[in-house]
Amino acid sequence: MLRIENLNVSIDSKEILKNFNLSVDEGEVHVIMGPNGVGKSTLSKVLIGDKNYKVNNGNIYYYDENIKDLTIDERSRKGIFIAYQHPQEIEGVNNIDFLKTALMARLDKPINLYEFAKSIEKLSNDLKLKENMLYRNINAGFSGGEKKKNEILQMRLLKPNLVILDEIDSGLDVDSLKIVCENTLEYLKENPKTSVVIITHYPRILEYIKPDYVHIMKNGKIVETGDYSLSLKIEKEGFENIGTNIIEDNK
Amino acid sequence: MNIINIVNNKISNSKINNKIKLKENKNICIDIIDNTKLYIEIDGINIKSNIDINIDENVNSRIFVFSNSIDSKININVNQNKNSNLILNSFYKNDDVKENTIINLNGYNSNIEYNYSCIGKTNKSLRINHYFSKTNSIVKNRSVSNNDEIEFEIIEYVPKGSIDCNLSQSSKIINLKENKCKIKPILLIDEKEVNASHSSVISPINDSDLLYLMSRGIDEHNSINLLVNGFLVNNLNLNEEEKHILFEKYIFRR
Ligand SMILES: Nc1ncnc2c1ncn2[C@@H]1O[C@H](COP(=O)(O)OP(=O)(O)OP(=O)(O)O)[C@@H](O)[C@H]1O
Ligand SMILES: [Mg+2]
Repeated sequence: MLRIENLNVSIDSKEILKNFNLSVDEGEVHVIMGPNGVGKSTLSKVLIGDKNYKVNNGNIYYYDENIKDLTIDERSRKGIFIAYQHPQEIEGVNNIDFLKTALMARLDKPINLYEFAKSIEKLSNDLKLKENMLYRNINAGFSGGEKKKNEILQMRLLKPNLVILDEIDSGLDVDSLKIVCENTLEYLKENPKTSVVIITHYPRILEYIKPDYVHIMKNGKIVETGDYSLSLKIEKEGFENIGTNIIEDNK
Repeated sequence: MNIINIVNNKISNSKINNKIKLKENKNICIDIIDNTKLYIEIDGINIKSNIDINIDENVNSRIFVFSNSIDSKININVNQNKNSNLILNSFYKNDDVKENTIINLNGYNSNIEYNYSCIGKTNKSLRINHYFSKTNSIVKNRSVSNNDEIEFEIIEYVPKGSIDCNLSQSSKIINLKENKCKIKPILLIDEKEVNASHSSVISPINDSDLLYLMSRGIDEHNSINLLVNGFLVNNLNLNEEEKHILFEKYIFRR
């Protein structure tokens, strides 16, 4: 369902992604790990179509359609969702108005307000979010954990086919991590064809959400792929000895 | 609920209780003699409207001014007496409007909270005179310029002898298309024992805000609408019902 081919992305003339390749099938869970600053968030922003990140080269296929030239909102309406590492705080816009507008955009039709209210109520209960969060400005003054939960709430509401979780586990306490993972699993159970890309630094989240593949990113590309055990090895040994036997092929 | 409708500088309709006295001569005179809430709607085309508002001693009042005017001048004069409190919320949907408001804090410990939001071509001037000691003013002006020139001039005057006054004003314009916009804050303070602060910002829409909304599938136009409406409406001290009226009447529904 997702195929990234030879992606080249640079920021301020510095190459961040170099001939990056990745294929994800329906219903699969992929994990990307890698040192700070290697370009994991950059990858997720390129996938969602953030116009601040320019693609120099390469293609992104989503259900066999090249989405490279689609805008961020078009990609979202097609079912690509990113849970941001740092969700934006927006003064002045009420969370519930925002959610309503986003859902209408995704479904491309007016919504039944009663059903909407019911489903929002259920989702915020499931996530143990206080009800007043819905009526506050988007993420404004939310704690780190509350922001992450609000991202998951949006995911469950908008029902995407491809979910990118960029460090959803950072800043969460043990209980919140459990709630966030349970909600994600619940969503995947209801929507088994949904594919997930999890960006993380810790194998902990993978105890809940079992990955099919674990990829290690270094020097702008994936240098090693394995399973859950690879994440444990990284936790123990770090990234030092990973991918050193790979010869730079673009030099 | 007290409502006064003013069309082309004439009272076209009014429904008021005994806490408000209304007179109409060359100006429209509104005298608030007891605690109450009042809605004023101003409509006009190519006209000059003059409105005088008086707040009696010890009276707390909330006034909402909704205006929809074309090619017009609107003058509002407010006189506040001793120990009076006024929250004045204004929403103006203008098409070439010159608006002039003067607020005279005419008694010890009189307080004004002035929240003003507008769209459309506007030339606004606000002057607050702190004629007595311990008079306080909070001013918040917000505007969004789509294709229009917006100009704010905010003058605050504290003569010598008016001690312990607090003045705070902030003005922000979101300039969507690099139009000519101007904010002129002017503080005329002749007294040392005064606290004053002011801020003025003219900026385009916040790109990261826009991106976040769009990343949830909301197109650019609707994302900007959400941001702009939120910016203008949140500036006003309104309850849910009043917000609803505002949206129905003045802000195009999404
Ligand atoms: N908008 C930007 N402007 C300038 N530099 C940027 C921008 N976004 C990313 N970078 C740079 O690109 C590199 C990759 O950043 P990115 O955020 O993708 O890393 P990451 O792998 O997600 O790191 P972390 O694990 O710390 O989250 C970094 O050197 C970063 O400073
Ligand atoms: Mg990152």
